[in-house]
Amino acid sequence: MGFYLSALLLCLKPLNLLMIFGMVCLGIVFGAIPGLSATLGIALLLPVTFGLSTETSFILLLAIWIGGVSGSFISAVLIGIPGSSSSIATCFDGYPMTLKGESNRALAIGITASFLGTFFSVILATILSPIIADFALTLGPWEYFSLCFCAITLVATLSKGNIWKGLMAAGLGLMLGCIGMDPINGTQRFTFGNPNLTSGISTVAQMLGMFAMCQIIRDSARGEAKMPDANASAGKGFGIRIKDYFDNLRVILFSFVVGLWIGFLPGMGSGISNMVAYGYAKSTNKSKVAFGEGNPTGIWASETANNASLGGALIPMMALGIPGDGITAMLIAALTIHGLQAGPLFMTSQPDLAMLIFACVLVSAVVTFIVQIFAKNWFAYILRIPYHFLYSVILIIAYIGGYGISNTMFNIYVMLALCLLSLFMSIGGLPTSPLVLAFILSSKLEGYFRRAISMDKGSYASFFTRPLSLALLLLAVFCVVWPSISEYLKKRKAAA
Amino acid sequence: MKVKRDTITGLVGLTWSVIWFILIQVQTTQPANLLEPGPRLLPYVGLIVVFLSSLMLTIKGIKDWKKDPKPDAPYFPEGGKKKVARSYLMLVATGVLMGFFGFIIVAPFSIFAFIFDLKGNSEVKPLQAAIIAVLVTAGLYAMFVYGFQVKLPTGILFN
Repeated sequence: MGFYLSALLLCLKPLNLLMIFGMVCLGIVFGAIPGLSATLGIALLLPVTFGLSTETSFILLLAIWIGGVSGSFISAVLIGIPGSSSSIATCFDGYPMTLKGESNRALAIGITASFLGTFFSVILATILSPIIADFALTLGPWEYFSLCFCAITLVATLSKGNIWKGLMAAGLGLMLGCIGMDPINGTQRFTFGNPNLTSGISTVAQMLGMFAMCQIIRDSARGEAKMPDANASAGKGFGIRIKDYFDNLRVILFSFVVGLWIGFLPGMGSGISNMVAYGYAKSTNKSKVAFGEGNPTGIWASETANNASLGGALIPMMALGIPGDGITAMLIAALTIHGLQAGPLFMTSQPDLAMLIFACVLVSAVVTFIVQIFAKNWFAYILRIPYHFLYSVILIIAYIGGYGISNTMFNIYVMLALCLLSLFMSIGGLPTSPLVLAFILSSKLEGYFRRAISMDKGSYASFFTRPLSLALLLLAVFCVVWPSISEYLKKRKAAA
Repeated sequence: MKVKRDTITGLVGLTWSVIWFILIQVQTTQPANLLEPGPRLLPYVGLIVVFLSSLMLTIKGIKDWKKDPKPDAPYFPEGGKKKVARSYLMLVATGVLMGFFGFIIVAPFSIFAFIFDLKGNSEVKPLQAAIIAVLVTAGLYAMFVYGFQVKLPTGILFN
């Protein structure tokens, strides 16, 4: 508790509060503009943090994350295009409300639901993470291997599109992770005699190439950069009443629990949680206004769930060192850049920094809420920023980021190569999340597996005799097999 | 006969698996008398995952083609392939030129070129783009070099 309070006080220092305010505003812009995202914001900001202290770096990164995730509902409400996949369900009722002249109310619901989801999920994450980390310290390499294996399998099988595409992307991620020295013997692999490759491929270069560069040139070529004009009516007052909260309390609570749980599971995240919560709200609707025609309950459900996922994703990241999605993968990379290793030991050996992360997310959530309340009537202007100017600046910042990793041009070339890989993956319909997660977890996966075998003197039996390890392996197998079984059952049902 | 995109993806994956297999033999060494599987384990796991998923994707593509031989909708609209190739070449050119001439010389030209490449149907005045390119370069240079103490490429010619 002492560490948490001092971390909270550190965040509330005027300079830090000012940085949080600035980054939250930038995050909201990144979240609001379709095509940009909090992930991209963090990728661009990471190189900036190289020369800063760990505390300042995390204050900047976390604030842009919270602003970015929260801001994605703005374009969903105002132009009917979600800022990211986490706000897809918000479009269904948010945009019809705007068309009916209720944009002020729709935005107010989005702001409040985002705040409730983030605020309470982070409080729960702060309480639960140390408990889970304490438990994780009792586990051995067998359980950790199974956990990493299960995380990669979950992401690969649950990512959008065909299961084989997800697995292929994960396989490519493992291959990329092989480049450099192996984690046990230090043997050089796939370095082609190039000393720049000895430490492997940089996560930052990967993120900048695959997310920033590829996304911008691909969307521009596909004609996805041009957006419709934002249509918003400035409203008086906040837009919602106390009664609205109580009328939707059941949906808010359910969406919060769903969001938290889905965020906790690797590979699922806010992109799925908002749809699940919306589905529930729709199935239990008793209102006169149908869903899809501007029912405010739809926004409550979607926005509470996607922001609650944020706290859910923090738990495995902090307690186990397992990233749940691209953003948490990048935050783990940021910790590594600053010489720290996410996981249970981090929680016990660096409690001040661990608590700073939770406190900063909490403060950022409050700042985001306040900024959004005051800036509500200006949201439409964010969507009128000329994209070609913004994207050009982002591309040039990506070069600065690539160079800043090791002060050599090598990582810029790596970035360009990975941009090309990502472009081909997009054309082939391969998702990028499994690749990123497999790449991040590859060295852990290999290290734990080989360490476990060494400890067992060459025996594989412990993976199947230790209950938690076996349960996680069975879950991974189930995830791979389930789509085929489900398809077979559907066919049998249709035939009958 | 136009094959499905899945089949092409699968075939590319299979070809890559063969190349990767050769690379494992050439680029990794397995120390003798290890108690554990050694440094070739992960490359082989990656190989198996990519090989199997590519194979399944190829089969899926063929099955889909048999059901419906209509070609897939093009990924890029008309002219999109040329546009993405041009944009990518511009990115590569920026990277290479930055290596020679450094950030401060290449960045304004690159930003100017990117603005026109990404503008789509929007109207952009060359003077406006040039001013923005110069101001952004100066702003970024000041922010990163003096503000964040991050080094920027100086270029081989000016080293």
